Amino acid sequence: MRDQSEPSFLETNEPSSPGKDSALTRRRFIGRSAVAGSAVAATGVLAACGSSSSKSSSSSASSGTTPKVSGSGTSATGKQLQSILGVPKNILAKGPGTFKIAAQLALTGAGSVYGVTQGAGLAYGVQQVAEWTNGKLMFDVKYYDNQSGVPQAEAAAGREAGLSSVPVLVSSYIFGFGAILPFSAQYKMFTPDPGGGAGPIPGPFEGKPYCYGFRSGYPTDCFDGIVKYLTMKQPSKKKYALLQPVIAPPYNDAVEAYTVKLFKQYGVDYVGQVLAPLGATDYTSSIQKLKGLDPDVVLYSSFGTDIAYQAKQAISAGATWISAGVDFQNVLAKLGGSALKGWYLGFDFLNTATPGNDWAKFFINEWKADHKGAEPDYYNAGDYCTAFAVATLIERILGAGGDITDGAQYVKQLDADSTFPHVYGGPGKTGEIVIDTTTHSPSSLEMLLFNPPANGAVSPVTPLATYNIKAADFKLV
Amino acid sequence: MIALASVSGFVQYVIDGLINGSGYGLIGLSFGLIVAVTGRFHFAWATSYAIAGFFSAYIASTTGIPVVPSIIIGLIAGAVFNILAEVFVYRPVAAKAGTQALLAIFVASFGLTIAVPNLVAWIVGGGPAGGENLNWISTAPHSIGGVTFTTLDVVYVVVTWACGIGTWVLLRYSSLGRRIRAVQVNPGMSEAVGINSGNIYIAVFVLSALLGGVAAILTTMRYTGTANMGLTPVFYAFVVAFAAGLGRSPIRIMVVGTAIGIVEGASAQWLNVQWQQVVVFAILLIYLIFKAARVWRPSLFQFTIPGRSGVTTTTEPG
Repeated sequence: MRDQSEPSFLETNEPSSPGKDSALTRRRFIGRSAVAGSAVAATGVLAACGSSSSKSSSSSASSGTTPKVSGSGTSATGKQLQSILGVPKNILAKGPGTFKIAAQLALTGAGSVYGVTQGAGLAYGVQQVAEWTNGKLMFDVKYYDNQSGVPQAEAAAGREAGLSSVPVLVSSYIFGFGAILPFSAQYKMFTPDPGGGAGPIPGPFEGKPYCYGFRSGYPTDCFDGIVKYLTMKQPSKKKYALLQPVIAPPYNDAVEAYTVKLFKQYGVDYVGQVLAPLGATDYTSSIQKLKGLDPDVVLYSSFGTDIAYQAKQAISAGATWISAGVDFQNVLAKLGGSALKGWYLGFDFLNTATPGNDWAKFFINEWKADHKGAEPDYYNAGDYCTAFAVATLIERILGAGGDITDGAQYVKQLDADSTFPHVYGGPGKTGEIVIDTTTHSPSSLEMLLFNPPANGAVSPVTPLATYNIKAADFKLV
Repeated sequence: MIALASVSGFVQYVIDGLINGSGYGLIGLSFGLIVAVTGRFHFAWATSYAIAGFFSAYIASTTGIPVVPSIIIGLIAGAVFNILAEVFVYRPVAAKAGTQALLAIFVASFGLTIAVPNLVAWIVGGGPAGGENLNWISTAPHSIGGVTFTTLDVVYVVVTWACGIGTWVLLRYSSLGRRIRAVQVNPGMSEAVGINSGNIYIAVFVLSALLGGVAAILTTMRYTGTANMGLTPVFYAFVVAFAAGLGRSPIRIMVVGTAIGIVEGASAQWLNVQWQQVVVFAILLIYLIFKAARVWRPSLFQFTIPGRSGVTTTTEPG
């Protein structure tokens, strides 16, 4: 792919990678500024006219791109992928070429940074699937904007994707915090979610038709290894508290119930929880509430930038408890800086310093080469692997003589074999993710417990332990 | 989860509320100034606020320009946005919309509020600018009697109140302030005596941007700056401005803002944190009900001061 001329952002409307975004050229700036100026001017004109003729839609769709591969033979990248993942014989024999799927991501709003990073991972997966299959499977992804979890936008994305008759909708935000669920079932769209997974397990989003979490159950699966480690290494710390973002009562209740049970299992005391606003910046009251609980350890199920603010304000408030969380990426690392010193973080994290298998090494090296040395993050990795999981299902459907435009066929093949290659885990050619066909969330996926560098960078982290779902295969590093 | 906090815990909530409330006062003053003097419902105040807060940090972090010049550039950028909005959007809209100007301007302003932050995010990226880039004031904790605060918190209160008092002095004692008050009271008469109300409008938009910009930059220092960081504050500003009374003294607006902050902060003692914002809007609702009750029965809430026959006090703002 590196020898291809890359289309510009303005030409594709495709979510770009952080690495690409950081390179803001003068031409790009002027181009975007011109569009911005025009739009602002148009705002005044519309208002002066007294009415707007714009169509009402809570979800915006951008056109996808059609990946290009060299016309003859398998590329070097494709050969390496075939060496690692095996040869997709059925796709090579009966592949559809261009194949339309959809993705709903946070392209605007407070979480747009995640839409960008997930979109970049998905786009990279699409490119490499095309190379892996020698152009016989080129996903044409239509992106829908969930506006960072706005329910109406999520629902509109689900409806519009369904009406476009795509069999696959790559999701985020735990199936749009449930807003996508009815549309996935109604339109029979296979809906993997590598962003938020299926949420807490057990929880309100598990086992829903057509909807599958393609990352660990969040945050419940992540907590097991953290609590196991902390109770092992800090046995004198007995008072545990929970801070979680306000999502919805069924979600928050599920997280609390699981956490209370977990604390009991490891013989520590649950002193209470604090529900904090989602996506805020001022957490002084939340931190004061935590101080009122006088905990030794606080588990944060927050995600995004919230953790950075919470970490900083905990320091400003003079908090001395041990902090543990389940998210860590570039923006958080930059914002949190030294406030994240001493934090324990555990989840399905991409450790770029010590990849566990051949595919992970290949992915990291290729990504860095194609993104000016920028390292991929775990959102990039999750969506990248999900593109391959969808391709794997297509390979199986074609092998069984099925119809790849029928979303039900994806579910049928997943029920038959719910194991997919992944960049997490190892050693060997690949790690794996195994989807539980009852909960629709992973029953096996390797996670990493680590201390972050706490210097504004996302790597190198200090690995402490690896563990699987329910803290299985727990190993100190 | 309702946790009963200790007395020091309650005092901590109140102090946190006082700190935040000082900021509410300043943004209420900033927002209310425009509405009171120009009659423009400048909802895009949120954008001006965000431009100042976001770009100060963004410039400091991406260009290598020192913090103070970055802050000045951010403040100027917010002011320029306000001027452009007034000159190129509001005035043409008002001229064409006639009697529907208030609504038309609100729609235009609302459009700006949605469009500009998203376009800014598109141009320079959607991530936070990182308030730590502006931090040369310590955020290390100090503790007195179990109450914790930072040096930045103290600076925040001092600076916001200094701005509020400074605005009061400006409006009360300066030539510009007298002209602003004249236009506020009677634009037509002001024009008749030679005051260019258009220029006064521009001055008010600039003053508002500077006041809001100071609050935004301090907020960026405390938390971070984002392209849409003005969306929540604009609602607070709205509540404070209307609860204090449009066109009232800057000192009064600062006091009301601080009081709202204290009530909001203290409410955390009994309520979940996510309900704190509801408290603020409940205050506005109660205020509006009170106002409506006064219209229905003017004698309500009028009390005679003992020993001073004929003198009454009311709880009416003013």
